[in-house]
Amino acid sequence: MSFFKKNNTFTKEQQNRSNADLLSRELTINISTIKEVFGQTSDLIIRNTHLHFYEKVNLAIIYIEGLVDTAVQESVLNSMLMDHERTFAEKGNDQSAEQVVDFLINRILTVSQVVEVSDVTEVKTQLLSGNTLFFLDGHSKGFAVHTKGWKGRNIDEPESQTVVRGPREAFTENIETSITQIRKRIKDSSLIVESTQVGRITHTDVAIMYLKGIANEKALKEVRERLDKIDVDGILESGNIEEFIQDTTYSPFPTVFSTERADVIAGGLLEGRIAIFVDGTPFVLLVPALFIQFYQVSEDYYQRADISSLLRMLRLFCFIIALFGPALYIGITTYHMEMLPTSLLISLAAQREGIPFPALIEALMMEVAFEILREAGVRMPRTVGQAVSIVGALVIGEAAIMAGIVSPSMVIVVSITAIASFVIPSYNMAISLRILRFIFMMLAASFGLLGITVGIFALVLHLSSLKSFGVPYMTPFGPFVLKDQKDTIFRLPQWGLLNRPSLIAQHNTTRVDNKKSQKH
Amino acid sequence: MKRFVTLFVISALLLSVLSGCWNRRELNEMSLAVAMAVDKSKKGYHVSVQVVNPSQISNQQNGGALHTPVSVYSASGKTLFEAIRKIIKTSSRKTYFGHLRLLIFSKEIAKEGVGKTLDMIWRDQEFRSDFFMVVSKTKKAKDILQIFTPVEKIPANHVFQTLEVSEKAWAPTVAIDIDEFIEDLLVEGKNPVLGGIQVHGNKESGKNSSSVSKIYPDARLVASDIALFKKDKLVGWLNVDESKGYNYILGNVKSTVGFLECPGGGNITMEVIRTEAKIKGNVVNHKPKISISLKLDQNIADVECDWDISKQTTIKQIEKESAKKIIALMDKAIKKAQKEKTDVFGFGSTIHKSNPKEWAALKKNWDQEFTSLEVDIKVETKIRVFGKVNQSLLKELEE
Repeated sequence: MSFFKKNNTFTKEQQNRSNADLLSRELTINISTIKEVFGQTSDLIIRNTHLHFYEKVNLAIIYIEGLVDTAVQESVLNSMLMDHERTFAEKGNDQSAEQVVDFLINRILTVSQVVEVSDVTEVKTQLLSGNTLFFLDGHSKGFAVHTKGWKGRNIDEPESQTVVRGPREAFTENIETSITQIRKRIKDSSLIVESTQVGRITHTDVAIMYLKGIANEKALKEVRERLDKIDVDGILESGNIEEFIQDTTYSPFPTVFSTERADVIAGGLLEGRIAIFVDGTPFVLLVPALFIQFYQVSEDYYQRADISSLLRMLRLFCFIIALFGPALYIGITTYHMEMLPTSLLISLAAQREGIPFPALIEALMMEVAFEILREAGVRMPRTVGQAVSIVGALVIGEAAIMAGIVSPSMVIVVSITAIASFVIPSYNMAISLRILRFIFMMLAASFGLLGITVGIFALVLHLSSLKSFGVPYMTPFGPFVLKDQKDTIFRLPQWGLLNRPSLIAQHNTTRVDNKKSQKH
Repeated sequence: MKRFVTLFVISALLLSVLSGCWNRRELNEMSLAVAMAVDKSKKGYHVSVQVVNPSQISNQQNGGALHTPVSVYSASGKTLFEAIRKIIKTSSRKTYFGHLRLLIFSKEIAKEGVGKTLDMIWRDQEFRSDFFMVVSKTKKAKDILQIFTPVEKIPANHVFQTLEVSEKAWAPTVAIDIDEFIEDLLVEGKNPVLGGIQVHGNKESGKNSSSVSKIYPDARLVASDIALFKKDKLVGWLNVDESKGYNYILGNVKSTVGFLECPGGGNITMEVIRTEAKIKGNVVNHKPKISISLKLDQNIADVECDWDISKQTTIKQIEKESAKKIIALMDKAIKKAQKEKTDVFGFGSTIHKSNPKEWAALKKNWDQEFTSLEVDIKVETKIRVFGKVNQSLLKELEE
């Protein structure tokens, strides 16, 4: 509660100040105000000069170094300062400031966007978003010329979600480039972008994108409301936004989908989902997100239907291994020996002969060792990465067995589990399985298969209780939607994907018109 | 929410402590029993258990420590369960019976009745019901557990597989698990049977590992014959021919071998590939009657005489002769069972099903009725395949 109170007083203060901080007619006062606002920051450039066509008036050009596109800026300055036309001067030398401004904007400036600013707050915003401002002496308004443009990364291949077949364009940190990539893919006027800013200090650009008439209005309203509610000093990555807008915090499962692939977002929009772009990160959010969505990749739609169906089943199978692998091993070998074929049991028993720890400790040791290796692999500089794999393979794999600390079968179980968890395409879903795996191992070690079963019940209950922006997380399994099964565990051929997912898109649901797109 | 989560986590943690991991057993904290032998002792039972030494079985090299692949522990007790528990006195680990392959009764125990011992095995939740039960023809059942076996390092597995395979490909043995035995025991008008097992060769040197370091081991475990039970008591044995007859009657024969004598001397061998037996019961004038019909497909496997098998008449004759021979086998088995007054074929239960009303009167005196039961046997044989050649090699030589 205290958080909100503080917040109210803050906005009031802001209002008061902005009334007082209207710009003055005196140029020198304006410049000193701006200097005061920005402190002594060295990248604020203020240049005093004169207009070439009306030298009586003093002019100040203000911008922040590095945020402006120097090429654009140069041409603007060129037109303002160079003496190449005398049209204005012919009218006489005593013009009012308004007339000068009018001439300047309409005849001289060679950029598309010029905005008037009248108070200090606006000046701040314009300067910080990379525009160049100029002030005329004797005029109480400044002008912002659109010179935005800073160095960013080029469009690259996605690092986190690679495909064999499919587009190789990933989003970049620049929100405009990212939005353009979608525009390029969906050339329709129904594609709507709603921009806003989040973050009291960072003023991060955030954009909601959806297809009008296809996206679920309710979910859209929900997204807008939740974004509006965010009041935080800074947003540095879409993950910050995700945590604010997700439905459930106390769940290991992600209820917001994120990707750096442009085609995935385009596909999501076509299904009626809503994308949230955040400036400064290539990861774009997609809501509502369903459980099954995290096991699908864009390539599923580019390969033939039968192949992608099989691969999807393989991924779900890997989900089961990644979640229950070590738990089943522990449960069966310590409680349900009778379930194993005799010869297998004997060979397992032979491997465990002389191992000083119970199966649970053994599994925990290996799992934790593996988690450490994985984390080290992610954080290490690439050049040192090899050292990790050598130490991992040799020390953990070979030496632990040779030393008789861990049984070979346990190493097999842990490695298969690890590899299976890499098959899951979505990184944040894979992480949640990593957490749950430990819980299931504990359950198996204390209650055997009974514990695992109870754990599964709890898991299913939890999953069914989750929602993502009003849509049940387990759709179309719980609630069961027969029509939507066509694109879940398996995928029908393209001409069979007749409708958009019914709980996500609620209008204009037809995707394929088979009368027109006759198969040949 | 926070409160709920904390409470939940704490209670979950406490729960796992409280459970004490009931019944949890690490693989290297127990010894795996693969075979159990029950002998009679002065006090009651003498139980021997064959347990696996896992480190000796696995493929991993273990520094050449010369241990046997299995060990036998034994103990005596007034009751079976007491004796089994007493084994812990000599063994470092608790015995685990979930993977028992073989249960061997000594002849003495079998004669007195196995019912008493079965109760414990049937009742205990650790025993599964997929192990085979056999009766030892060697005097002490414990001896069977001490014989080294080649190829299959675990003797219990050796016997288990011998029983399983020979039931499939060599008719005169049976592989009976505890489920089948108890079902036969409880069904009205049927008595159970069990397979027999014995040691061939030198029993004493077979107990030494040097026995299996020879190409031909000093002692071999042989599955042979069928033990006839009356209720739970052993009453007699079927020999090889009778055992075969028994299996033919019950349609247990999947594949076997039979031979005929040729008219001009020498033998001809047939490989049975398919059989189908039907037992029908009927009661005429208060007299029960059983008719058995057997359809049998066979291949000619071996012609060791100069019989001309290319002739249609010869084939007909062979079919007829082999049918006659099989009828004789079945007849022998029935005669033997009638002599021991035990209906191991379940003729009684067949009558029970076909004529339930008459059965009510017959069942009181069924053992007596069985001895004079009229059994009508029909066998139809068909020769399917001659193999790669037509005439016998002998006949080719003559020409």
